[in-house]
Amino acid sequence: MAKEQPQEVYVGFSQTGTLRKDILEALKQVIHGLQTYERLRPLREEKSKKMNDLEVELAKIAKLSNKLNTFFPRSRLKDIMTEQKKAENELKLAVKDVLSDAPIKGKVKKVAVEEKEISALERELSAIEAKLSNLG
Amino acid sequence: MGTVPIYLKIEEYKDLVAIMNAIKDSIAKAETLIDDVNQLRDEEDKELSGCIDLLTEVKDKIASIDAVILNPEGM
Repeated sequence: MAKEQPQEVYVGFSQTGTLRKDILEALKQVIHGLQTYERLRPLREEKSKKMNDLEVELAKIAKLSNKLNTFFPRSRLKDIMTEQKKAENELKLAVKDVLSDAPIKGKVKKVAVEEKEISALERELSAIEAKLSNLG
Repeated sequence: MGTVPIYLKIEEYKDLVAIMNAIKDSIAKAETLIDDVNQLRDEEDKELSGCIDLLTEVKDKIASIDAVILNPEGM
């Protein structure tokens, strides 16, 4: 039995000339785009190289500037600033101590701890006394 | 503090001047490099802008082809 051939359906286009022209022009533009990319590539490579050179030069400047520092004696400005800051901090702490009731709280806490210890001792003592009376 | 004079040995002073000159040279080189990079970037931008124009044209052409393909004759 002969195999049934599928029905062939056709789609018609008018203005095929324009269509072909448009396709060719699009292709032409794409090729121009590829050419532009080819021009861009070496530019980018050169830019990357220049950027690397710039990085090297900047590192060199930083190193040389650092070296400059070694020619001059160390300034005491930093020490003075540190001393000033230390004094300010001490003053702030002193003011805080005066304003807050931290020392009083500390004392209260200490007294409470002592009381707890005494009551624990008393409890132990009464327990021992109870045991002794049981023995006696 | 800043008014206290500092005395350097002549050899050290020579080294100092040499370092200063090296720094100046490096700064000049860095400036040239930055100019070059800027110029390259401008060229790159110009090429990219041309590329965008080309892409827009391709897009228009494709849209025109698409319009023909999606509206075949007699359908």
